[in-house]
Amino acid sequence: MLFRKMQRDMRQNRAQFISIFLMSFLGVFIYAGINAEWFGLRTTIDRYYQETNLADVWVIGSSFTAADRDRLLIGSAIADVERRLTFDGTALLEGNPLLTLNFIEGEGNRISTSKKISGADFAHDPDGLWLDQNFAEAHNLHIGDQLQLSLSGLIITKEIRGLVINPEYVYAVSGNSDLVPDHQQYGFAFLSEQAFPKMIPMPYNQLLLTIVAEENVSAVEDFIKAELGEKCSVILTRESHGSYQMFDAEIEQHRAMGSVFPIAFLAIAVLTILTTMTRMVNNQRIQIGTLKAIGFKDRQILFHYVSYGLWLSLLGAIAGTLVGPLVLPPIFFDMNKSIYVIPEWKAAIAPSIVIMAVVTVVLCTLAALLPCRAVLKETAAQALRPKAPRTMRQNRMERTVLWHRLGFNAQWNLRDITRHKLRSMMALVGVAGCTMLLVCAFGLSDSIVDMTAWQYEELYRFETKLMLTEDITAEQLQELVDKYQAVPILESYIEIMAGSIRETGALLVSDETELIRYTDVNRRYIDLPDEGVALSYKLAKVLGVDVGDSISWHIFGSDKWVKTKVTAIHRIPIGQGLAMSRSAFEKLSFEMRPTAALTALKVDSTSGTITAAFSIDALVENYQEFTKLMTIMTIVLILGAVVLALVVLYNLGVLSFVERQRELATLKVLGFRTKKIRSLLISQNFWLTGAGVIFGIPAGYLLIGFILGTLPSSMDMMIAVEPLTMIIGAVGTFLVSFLVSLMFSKKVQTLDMVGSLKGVE
Amino acid sequence: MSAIVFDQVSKEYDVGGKKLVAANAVSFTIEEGEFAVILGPSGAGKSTVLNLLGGMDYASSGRIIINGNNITNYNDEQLADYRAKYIGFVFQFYNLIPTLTALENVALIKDVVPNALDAARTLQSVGLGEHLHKFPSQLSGGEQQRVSIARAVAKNPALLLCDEPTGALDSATGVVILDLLQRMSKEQGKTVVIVTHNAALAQAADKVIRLKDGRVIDVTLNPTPLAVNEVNW
Repeated sequence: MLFRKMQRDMRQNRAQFISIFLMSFLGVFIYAGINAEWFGLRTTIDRYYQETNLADVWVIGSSFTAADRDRLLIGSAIADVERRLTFDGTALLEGNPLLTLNFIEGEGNRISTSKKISGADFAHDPDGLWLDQNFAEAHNLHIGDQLQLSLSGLIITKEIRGLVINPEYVYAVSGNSDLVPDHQQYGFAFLSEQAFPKMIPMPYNQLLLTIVAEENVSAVEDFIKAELGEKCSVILTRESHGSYQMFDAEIEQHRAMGSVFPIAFLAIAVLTILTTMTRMVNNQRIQIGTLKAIGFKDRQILFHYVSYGLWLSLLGAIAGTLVGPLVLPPIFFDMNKSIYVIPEWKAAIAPSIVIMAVVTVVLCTLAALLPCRAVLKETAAQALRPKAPRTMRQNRMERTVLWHRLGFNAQWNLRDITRHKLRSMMALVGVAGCTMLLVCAFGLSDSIVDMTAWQYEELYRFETKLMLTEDITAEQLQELVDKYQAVPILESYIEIMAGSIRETGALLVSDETELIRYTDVNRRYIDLPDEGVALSYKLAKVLGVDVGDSISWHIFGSDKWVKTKVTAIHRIPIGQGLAMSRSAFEKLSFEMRPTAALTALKVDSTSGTITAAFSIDALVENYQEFTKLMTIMTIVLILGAVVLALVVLYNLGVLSFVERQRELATLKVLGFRTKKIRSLLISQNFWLTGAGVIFGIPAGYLLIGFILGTLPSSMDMMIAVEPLTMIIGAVGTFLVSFLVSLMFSKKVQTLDMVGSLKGVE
Repeated sequence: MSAIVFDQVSKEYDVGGKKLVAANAVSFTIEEGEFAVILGPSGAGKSTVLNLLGGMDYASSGRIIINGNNITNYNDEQLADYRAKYIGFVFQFYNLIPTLTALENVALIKDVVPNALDAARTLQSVGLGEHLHKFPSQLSGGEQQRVSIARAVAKNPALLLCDEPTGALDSATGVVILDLLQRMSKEQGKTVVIVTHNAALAQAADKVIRLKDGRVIDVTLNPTPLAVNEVNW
């Protein structure tokens, strides 16, 4: 019978019970969705790395001999070693795309093996080539096709035996300023050592190592350094391997996002239930007293009221757990598919999702328990009497002169707010949450726009970036410089060491030019120092160094370590690393070999010495692809904000209206105009909303800061919130709030005076 | 042995730091099967006595013995059992669960006492056989009170406790309700205790206990009670 009572109670208080369900559903839905997404990625990628036996350490150097390999194998921590020759060649296809070629030593590929998508297995084959599946697709190549490659001028032809993907190329980009892979322009291929032209001795430049489980990587690094000495120029661990690092950071970012937002929803869900149940229990005091008088045990009554919270939140949590992983991951996957290549995109239910669902249900149940316990503590006789009016005393505020100057409207509302603290608090939190999410959403998109302007207008002031061939001669370069008024620059990757911290980064060497500028920490223009290096702000923070400290670094592919003083800190959004003037670079006795040239002219033709020409618009476009994730997040946030505000405010509207029905009816009987009473209600809402907005705006800032903190280490962003954003946040919140209060104040008109003032039941 | 023994029972409330004595050394007995009326003006302590008798509140001192059991020192759990087993309540404002139908309101008792009487038959016995599936809001006051009586009777309790059962009803309907209660006592041998301020009811009672200012001022036995419909209201 009590179950039937519950069903009917729920039907009568539909709006509030639906909101309980909705809040617990939304909280779990978002949590489950985002967490299933990153957990799915994590599960897939871990399995992928394991199946393909991804190397733990890459040793890069020159001419590794079989003896070098065997020497490393002796190390007890090292499980396996494989030699490989890796370098970039050009495929003779439309656009002369770059192809990283990997020649594997020996019979079979054991470490960092490729996953075959179609065709034959990798084999010891002089004529075969196993090609990047995405590259093949972009160029419409098929198994059995012949592919011509240029290896530094030497032309070889191989037959495509298989199409593959490889764990080292999950995130595979070529140039410095590319953020999104372009499968048209860049790919990779695996070949057997036998496929390498016979006339050249095999100059293996990489050793791939796998480490025995539970062994310390840094100990292995020391061992390698001791064994190989000068021969190895770079030792990469997984953490410093570009592809691994990038995807790992991506997953971590999603994970961080997935843990913040649901907390907000959960908090609101609990508050909603708490207020709803408090009201419910207060309204049903007499019924509780009756049940007690009839002889129901406290336990039975408690269980009855607690089950309101229990069933609804249970339903919400189960629905959220089921629907979230189905709906949200595909949206995120779609954006990431253009950036990363992994075997499958599949969501997986993380154990934390189940925990979260249980926590939601437990909290919601507890929220229902508290107000009920309070009533049950009373004796049946007390509970049967209507609740004694709360002792009201004049508080200090009400004794001041100012108080008496306030109109009735202000007095009534101030009293009402201070005497219904829980309800007022909840309104405040709901409104602040709404403003916070709106400010965060629009602020994020402001920050992205700002970052784009910073990178591509304030720093990059060229129109076209010309990529140069490696073997360009001084005369050819001069010719280009004259023809396009171009400024040559050198871009490369480096490894930096400060104390015990090692990081990889970008190196940019340029002449003093108007085409590319630098900014300091506060984004004021600076010139590069003539001596020493300018370290980027974010990297400086990671390395823990400042101006005046020394760092060691070397260019990838060269084993020449140099120790230089940091003479400036410069701040740049994309591409953390070192920037140097040409003179400072040459003072370190490096030779300036430009890899690109910048020009203010529009150039769209490639010629012998220009391998590619990127317009600034193309770079911006590429970048915007990368920020799509944030754009989607913005939309999710806005939707979340509106739902949150609607649910919370509607719920409070119902609550405060029903609770004050008697009071409002009395006012009406006394002869107050409906208009006057409506303005009472609306002005209270206005004040609470105003206060909520004031809290919400800084909270939005904090949230943006948190989200920017989850950016990959190669990106630096400033919080840039436009005044318009704050206005949108505030006005949007007020709009939602007014909409709701209008709905309720309308009810004043139809308020039944006699009915509301009638006796107890 | 008397069905109900009140022995020097007092109840004090603490209201805003001041002591309020609602019942002051109240003593009386009620025998099994008696149709008893506790009479008094408002503020006399009637409701206090009823609450104590019904196990809904704790006495400050004294003993309350029901069917030989001293309930004075019962804890919450024991009191709930006592209410469930012995007491059928009829309230002034009926106190029906508004979201349950008449039948369901009575059937509710099954959750408390497993061997409750059949809900439909009990409702028929109070003359509501045709309104089983109506909600309280669809019934008149008298009909609601009859549901309330049916709910109390369905437990088959030893004692029916009625707090101003006719207080919210017009006099004609009130007579029907009182007649029903009197017949419960006469025909089924139930002990019925009615708390009221309506002195006219005294003529129909076997025993009248008069209260004033928290004290018992008079206990009268009425050897020839009138039938309710003979009473001059």
